[in-house]
Amino acid sequence: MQALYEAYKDKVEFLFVYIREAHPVRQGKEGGAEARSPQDIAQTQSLAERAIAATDCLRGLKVTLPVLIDTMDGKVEKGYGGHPAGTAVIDRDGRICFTSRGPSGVKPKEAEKVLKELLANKGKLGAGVPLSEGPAASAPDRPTKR
Amino acid sequence: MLQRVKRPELQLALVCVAAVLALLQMAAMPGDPSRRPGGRTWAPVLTVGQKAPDVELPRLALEKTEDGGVLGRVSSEKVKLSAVWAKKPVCLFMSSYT
Repeated sequence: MQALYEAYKDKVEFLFVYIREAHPVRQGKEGGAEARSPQDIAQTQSLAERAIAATDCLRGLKVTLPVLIDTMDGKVEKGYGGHPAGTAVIDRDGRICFTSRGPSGVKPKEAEKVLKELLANKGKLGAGVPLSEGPAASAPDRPTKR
Repeated sequence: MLQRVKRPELQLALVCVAAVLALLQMAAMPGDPSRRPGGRTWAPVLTVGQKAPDVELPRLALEKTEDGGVLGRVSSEKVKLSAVWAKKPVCLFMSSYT
């Protein structure tokens, strides 16, 4: 993620949206004697708490991407399907060019392929892809059985 | 169950059989990377070509503290995604620390 950011930050706007914790510890266990690692974070209850968790995350992962903080009602998390982790590439017309979602949803290599295509096409998705309005039928927050 | 089995060779054999069965199950799955063991998948919310949801979010502001640390707080500056993608393509990474 950091390597991709360093390579393309002049041509692409990278944003790390910090969403609600995927695997929070129980309230009161974070940072206390029972905390086993800096990642023992309780579910954030406010934007201020989320900002602190995001700062710990940046420090722990050693990334310098610009960070946005998702709303407490999870506008990005729900609108883009970012939970527990995800990637979305958007072109200059506001069209989705790539998305991934899941426990390993941060996919810089796949995103880079799409970004290369976009940059070769003036930042826009190739012709022939129709623009559809609005989000798709809401997907469940949890994985579904096939 | 393993506690009842006294012989260590038998315990090891049972673990190996379980591992082989798990590998066979994973190998039998199609190449969809979003497919998870147990036949579960994370359905995408958006598809390629669809209009991206426009959201306005606050930035994380980082300030250096006197002891050399970094303090993060919610900035009063908000970022509207549509204003960003109008200038450059956008790559969003969404995650938490946990």
